[in-house]
Amino acid sequence: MKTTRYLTLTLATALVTLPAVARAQPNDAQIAAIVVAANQVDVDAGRFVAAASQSSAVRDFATKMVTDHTAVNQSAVALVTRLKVTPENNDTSRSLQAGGDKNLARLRTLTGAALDRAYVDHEVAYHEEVIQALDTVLIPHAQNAELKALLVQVRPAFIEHLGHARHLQSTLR
Amino acid sequence: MKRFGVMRSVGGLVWILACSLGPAAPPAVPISHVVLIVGMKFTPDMIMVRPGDRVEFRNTDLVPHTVTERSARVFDSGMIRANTTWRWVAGEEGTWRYRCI
Repeated sequence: MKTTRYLTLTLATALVTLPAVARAQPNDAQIAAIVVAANQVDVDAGRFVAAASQSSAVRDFATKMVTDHTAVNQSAVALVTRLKVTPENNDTSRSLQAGGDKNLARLRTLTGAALDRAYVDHEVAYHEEVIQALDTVLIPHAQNAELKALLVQVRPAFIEHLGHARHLQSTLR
Repeated sequence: MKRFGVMRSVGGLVWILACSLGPAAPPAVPISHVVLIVGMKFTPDMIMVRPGDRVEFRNTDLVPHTVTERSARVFDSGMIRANTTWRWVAGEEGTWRYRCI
């Protein structure tokens, strides 16, 4: 059981690891694409789980993720549109999208408690990685002051999401 | 003479009462309060209001929030979108704490 649990966590982490981010020095257009992809994959997973989970606590969390990450993307898209920055897909944004697609495909094969655990484990790993990417790559490399401010502004929400996900994870054990 | 003395005493009592009560206090003027929602926190996280006071909750975060009174949902804003404001007028005196649900 412990081995299964470890493998699940490892897989969840692997799906959201952002190796390209660690090495990258993205420009603002690439950062915009990374932000949009990062939020969109969480919206996609949240929409599925909000409809499929049997747990009200998990459904509430998933619904919140859909609401919050949709709002962040709306703000990000509005900003880059105003700045006339066209999001530029890159290895990191493509990796994020591919990881999100794999995660969603896996979640679709699960039901009940297995679905809840897989989703929440992934959410914990996902938010840890995104916060790390914000701190080490995205915020430091953002050139435009408004884009940098947006990234700084969104960080507390991701921290709160991570705390919520970890709490939920502890209740599912 | 005795009657005059009683009248003086009553008059003195009225004067003392009038002085101790003083002029009627003017009605409290409602005031405006502002609560900022910044970085997933309310600042301040509680308010003291009188009837008629106006409270403006400004959501400066990128994500939506609610302002929901903690004890018995005396007020509940519903969803306040990013960079928008919700206003509430106090119906009674009290100290209120709130959270986002």
